[in-house]
Amino acid sequence: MSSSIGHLLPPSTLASLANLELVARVAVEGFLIGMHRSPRFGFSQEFKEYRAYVEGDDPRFVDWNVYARTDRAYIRRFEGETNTRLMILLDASASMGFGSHSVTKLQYGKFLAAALGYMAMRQHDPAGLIVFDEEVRQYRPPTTRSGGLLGLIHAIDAVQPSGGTRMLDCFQKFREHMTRRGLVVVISDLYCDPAALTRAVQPLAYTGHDIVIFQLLDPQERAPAGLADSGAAKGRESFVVEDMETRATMQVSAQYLRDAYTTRLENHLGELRRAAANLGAHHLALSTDEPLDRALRQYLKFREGHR
Amino acid sequence: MFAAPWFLAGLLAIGLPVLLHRIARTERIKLAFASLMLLEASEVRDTSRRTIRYWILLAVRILLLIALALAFAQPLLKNDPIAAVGPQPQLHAIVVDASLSMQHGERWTRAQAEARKLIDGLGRNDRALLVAASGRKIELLAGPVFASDANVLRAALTALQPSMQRLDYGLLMTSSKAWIAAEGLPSHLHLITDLQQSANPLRFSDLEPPANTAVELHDVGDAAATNLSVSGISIRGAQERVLTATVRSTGTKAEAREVVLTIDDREYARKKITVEGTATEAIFTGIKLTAGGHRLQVSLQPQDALPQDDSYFAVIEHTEPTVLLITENIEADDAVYFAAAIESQSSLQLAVQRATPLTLAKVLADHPLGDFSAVVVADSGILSAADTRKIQDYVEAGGAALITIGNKASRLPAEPVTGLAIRKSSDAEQHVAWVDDSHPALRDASSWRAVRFMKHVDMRQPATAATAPGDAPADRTLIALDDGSPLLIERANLKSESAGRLLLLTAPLDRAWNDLAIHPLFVRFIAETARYLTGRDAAAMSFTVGTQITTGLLPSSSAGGQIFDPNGQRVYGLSDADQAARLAPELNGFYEIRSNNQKRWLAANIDPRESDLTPLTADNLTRWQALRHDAPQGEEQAGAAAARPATRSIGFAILSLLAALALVEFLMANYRLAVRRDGSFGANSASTELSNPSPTSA
Repeated sequence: MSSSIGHLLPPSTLASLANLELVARVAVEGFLIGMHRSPRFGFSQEFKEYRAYVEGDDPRFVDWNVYARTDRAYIRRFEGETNTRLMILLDASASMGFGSHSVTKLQYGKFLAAALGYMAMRQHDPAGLIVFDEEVRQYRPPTTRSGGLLGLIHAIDAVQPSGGTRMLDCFQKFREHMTRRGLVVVISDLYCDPAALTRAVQPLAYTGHDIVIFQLLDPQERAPAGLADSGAAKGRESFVVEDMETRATMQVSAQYLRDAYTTRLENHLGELRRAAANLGAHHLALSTDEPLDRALRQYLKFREGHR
Repeated sequence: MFAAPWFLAGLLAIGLPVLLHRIARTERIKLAFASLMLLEASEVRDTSRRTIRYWILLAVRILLLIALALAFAQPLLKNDPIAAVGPQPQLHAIVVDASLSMQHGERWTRAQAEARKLIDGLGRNDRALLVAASGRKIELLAGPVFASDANVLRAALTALQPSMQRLDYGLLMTSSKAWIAAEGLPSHLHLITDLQQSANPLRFSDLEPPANTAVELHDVGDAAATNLSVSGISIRGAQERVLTATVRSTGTKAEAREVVLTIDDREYARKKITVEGTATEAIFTGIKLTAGGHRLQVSLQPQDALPQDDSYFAVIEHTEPTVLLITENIEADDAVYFAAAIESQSSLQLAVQRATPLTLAKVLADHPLGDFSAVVVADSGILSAADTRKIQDYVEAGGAALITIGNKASRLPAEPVTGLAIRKSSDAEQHVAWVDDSHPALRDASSWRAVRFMKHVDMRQPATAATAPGDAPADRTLIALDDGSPLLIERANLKSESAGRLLLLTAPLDRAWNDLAIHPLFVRFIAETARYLTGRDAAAMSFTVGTQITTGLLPSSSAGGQIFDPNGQRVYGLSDADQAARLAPELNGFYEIRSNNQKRWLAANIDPRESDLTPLTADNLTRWQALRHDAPQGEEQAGAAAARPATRSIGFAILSLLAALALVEFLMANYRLAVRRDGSFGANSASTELSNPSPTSA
């Protein structure tokens, strides 16, 4: 393993992830039979349902016993296990560069993306990467080839924060690259309108993608009162806040950050959560001061519980 | 009070820290944040705690600037002018008004008490001088001495007595420059006076005090004081005189008085009057005087609080109003012209006694020559040697004569009476070229040019003035003709100072010689000449105390003249005899002038303005005390240098305060700046880390 891999995936993180399986909640279409249930019926040994025969169905799946008893033709359908594609969508906008401690949101997103890619590669699932900000900055198609993990990790490592965020435009372009259904992991701070998120993610959900949204937040974004009580702003009642993406400035009082901001953030998170639920996606807000392995483990447990 | 007040403009710099603090307060900390999406613009005022910390620093900085401006402006503390002890010496000029009015009531006692009080209040380092002010004599009695020698001042004050003279405040302030400026110290002129309004000078600007001198007035007068005085007398008439005495009052209440007329130390008449209003007249009629000088004194009885002005003194010369006219022929033209011209002047009331050389002895047997007011000789050539000698003696004894040169005298080598040499007779027509119109006999000299002189006598040209000090006065040409020969000469080099008047006309009243007799100015000329010769223009003579008058004594000790004051004391000692030609009377009364067995009298009265006790108005006092010396630049600088010791600089205290404030400001500002540097550094480092995340920091 190269040094960059060792850097991004510390042994403790890898050891904790070794006992977990990345399990897709819904069956995805795949070429390889594996531990994942395929969305296509027919090749798995697990019976799923009967369906009335229609013209064009493969006659091999007609249950003749049922036809003998009921004089009606039914098709037996099975759940098939197959490999699933993992596409990691990493937001590399300038706002992801914010961090009030040693790890910025983008760094945290890189750790998370690498860990997911590694887990997918171990299960022989192809993993791909799309880096975006205002536009698609980098596209790496899912692959299981040897060295694919190394290339993926290198690609993740090279990402730097810059630019703004145009999620709707970027997701429209994602559809060009993701023609087959799979697992889509979105790693972003989601500074966007929940409605815009819905409009952006909705097409992917309708095409059958299993979507998991990791929303990364810095601890100061969750509780910005600390921002007003530290550094040069300490003791000041108001100060100028600069948007890292647009460079716009705004005079903000510490009192607002202590009181109104928290409520507004919770409302925003709630709307995002509801938007994700409407899309059938999973939304999880992670703080960058949380241990990474614990966050992954909790998520994967959550996925297992819903298999 | 500041030495350089224009530096106070530096106080405007106070606005600078205020502005800077405002700018500093509006400075905002810029913090990077992921997105403004969830933020709202909001701003809250500073808390009181932070405001107070800023205000303390601001106040310190403002105080620092104020102290800096004050340090440049050099504030000076003005010492109390009469403070008991002061580090800077000052000069206190204690001027006591010693004029006559200070003798009214208790004024002089109060003035001395006030002066003693000032002397007792002198500061240890102060110097003082004592000045007595009256009349034209502003006398420095003592000083300047230090306070430790104040006994010198007290002794001089005890010996000081008020005079009979009038004080003029303008003269006092003008002369004060001499004894105040010489000391070069900041000065206070303490004027102890009764603030008489009549002491004001004609020009208000004369009251201006010397540079760097404060005038402090100590009023010892009483505004309700009244005074009665005899302000003057007038005498009319020739044989029986009428004397009018004017009594003035400064009060409004009617007061009864007796006016006593004393002639030659004997009471002559007494009159009761009631003094009402400002002036009341007492008239004495039927006064008959013998020939010669007489001393008149008019006094009020009883006397008031200022008795010195209750008497008025005058000297009158009474002579027989007859002129002796000596002509060759009493029916001649010149005799007629002279007699007619003299007798035509009714105001003179002169009679003319005509005589010829033949009848002169008989006339003089009845009336001595000294009984005549004047003698007119139509042609001195007709006189015998004896008669000439009589006339010369008459003039030497104080008589008056008009001598003309006629046909007979013109043929003599010298004019008999005066002894002046006669050069020749000239037939060339002449006109008057020059007239001394300042002479009393020639007051109207406008038409002398019109008189034609067909013939005249050319005499030696006398000098017009004394050639050297100490010489006897020379003859004086009063009228000169075109060729320079004198027409009218006043003989001055007479033998004694008690001699009378002698005029010499070098042309007779003869139509063959000139047309003077028929010219309109002739009558006026003869009348004025007679008035001058007989002395009828000085019926009652008196002088004001303190003024310089001519005594008639020669400024030579060999003359042996003496002057005695009203108390009978000699005014001048033997060593001062050369000053006897002039006299400045210090007392009111009669001064006796003795010379060569003759004696004359001079009357001296006080200045009537001194009898007016009306005090200065408040407006006058205010204007006087507001008057400041407007010195030229050089004098102002000298005055400023002299004024420096009068103030105490607090520059050292200001500099100490400045240093302390600078230290406090340094510490406070350093503390504030240190905090801000730390904050700035933290913000910058955080920003650097945020924008350039280092992988190792993870």
